Amino acid sequence: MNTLGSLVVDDLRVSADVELVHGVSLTVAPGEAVGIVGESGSGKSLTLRAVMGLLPRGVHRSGGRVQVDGTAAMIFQDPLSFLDPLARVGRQVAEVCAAAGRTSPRAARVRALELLESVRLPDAADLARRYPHQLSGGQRQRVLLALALAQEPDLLLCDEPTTALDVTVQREVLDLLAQLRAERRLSILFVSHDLAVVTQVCERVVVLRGGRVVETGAALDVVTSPASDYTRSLVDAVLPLPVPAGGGDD
Amino acid sequence: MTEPTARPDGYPGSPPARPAGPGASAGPTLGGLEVVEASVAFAGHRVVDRVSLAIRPGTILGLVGESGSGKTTLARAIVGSVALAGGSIRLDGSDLGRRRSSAERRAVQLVQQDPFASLNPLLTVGQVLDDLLREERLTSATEPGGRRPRLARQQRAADLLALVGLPSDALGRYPREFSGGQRQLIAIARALAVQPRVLVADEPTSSLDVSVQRTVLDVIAGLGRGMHLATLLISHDLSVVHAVCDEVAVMRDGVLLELAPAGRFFRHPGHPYSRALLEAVPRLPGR
Repeated sequence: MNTLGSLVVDDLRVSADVELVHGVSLTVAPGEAVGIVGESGSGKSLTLRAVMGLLPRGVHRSGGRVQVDGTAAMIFQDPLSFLDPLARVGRQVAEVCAAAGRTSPRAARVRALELLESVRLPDAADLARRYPHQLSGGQRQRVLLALALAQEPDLLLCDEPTTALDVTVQREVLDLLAQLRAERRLSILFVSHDLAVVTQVCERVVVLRGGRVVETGAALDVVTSPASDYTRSLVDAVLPLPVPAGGGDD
Repeated sequence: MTEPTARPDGYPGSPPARPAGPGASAGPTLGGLEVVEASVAFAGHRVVDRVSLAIRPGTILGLVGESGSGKTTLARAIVGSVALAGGSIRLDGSDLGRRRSSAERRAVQLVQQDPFASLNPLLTVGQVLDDLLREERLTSATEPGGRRPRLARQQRAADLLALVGLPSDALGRYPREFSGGQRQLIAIARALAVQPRVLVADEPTSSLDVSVQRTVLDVIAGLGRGMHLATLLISHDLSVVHAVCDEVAVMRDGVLLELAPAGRFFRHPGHPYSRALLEAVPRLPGR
């Protein structure tokens, strides 16, 4: 059985001076998209970073097991903190391609252009010559996605990837993520504070609070009939927004 | 499609007389904040381009737009921290010029996104409020030009905290001792301490957890209406605007695209871009 892209997190503990994540367990099946939701301090980002082995300084994994089958890559809320400000974005993607595929520099450059096109960046050849600060927020997030794809991942870890984006750009990036996921059969672990975004991307949801799992289940079930009072309070706190009349769909 | 440069309904042809004081009632169509053909330019580029809108006392206008729309620059022009390249900003009919008097500055208060950055970490909440209340010269008819005695100031500070729903023992504590939502409530109390007539709230809940977002919005809306303030609520989040605003203005690339009553805006957005914004927002299933 092909288990490529699967993830098992078992009794994960993350600590600084004190323990911050208190035994979180979750799984992602091959090709599945799972969301982690919670408020600030819930441990959702720490859990994701522990899976990637990218915990902040002074924070470490103090217990439990993380097992990724295949390659994992990660995208972040703020691409600028991850991109090299002094290197053209095409070169940055090519370098990751070269490292991942052990190909020639020329083949890596060609591959980088393909990847920039695959994240639907218009005029990728021109854009590849630019520096990160010359791109819009949405373009930078697409470059970050290209960098992640350059690593040929089976599992994509997403840490609030659309939180800093405008709502129309968020929609584009979420659509892109869905397309890439289908094309490449990616598994996804998606962290967000936004329940609506998570239910749009993910089939299953894990609700965290104070470093513990409060509830886990099918995304639609969790938001329409939450099992815990805490999840219900999160759902109830989402401000409603009516859909305008006379849209293109009706 | 809304005519971008159209003046809001009811805009008066000539400036009305300024009401006698904060308690004075505005005329049937006058009073509040008026932004008339306002432009702001940076390095020759108009980032706010001939924007006109009006906010009556006791009402809330929601201003939405994406990054680069000019909404925050317009807010800064309204509070007087950015100069206009053209047009005017009027309060109760009188022009708020480039150089504002201290009374005019007090009249237009700003609440920002990050309450921690705007609160002095070395001062207790009580000290922050007391400094403001001590500066304030009473303008009431009974004590013209007078200052509040210390006990009266303490009582007023406690009253302000009560208005925003914080206990009076908060007066002795420092900003770091509060949650993000509580710090935003403190920032609101501080803005109200100087008895403003206009409240500009720029993304006031954007850095807060959803569980406290509602509380902060209810405080802004409740006090804005109750204290008869003209409130401008700037947000990238249309559901925030939908929750509390009477009217909605949409900006893009420095231009006002649409200005409409909230009920009509959310049901029948007048501009295609407004509709695109509304339709792009992810909805929770079953809500």
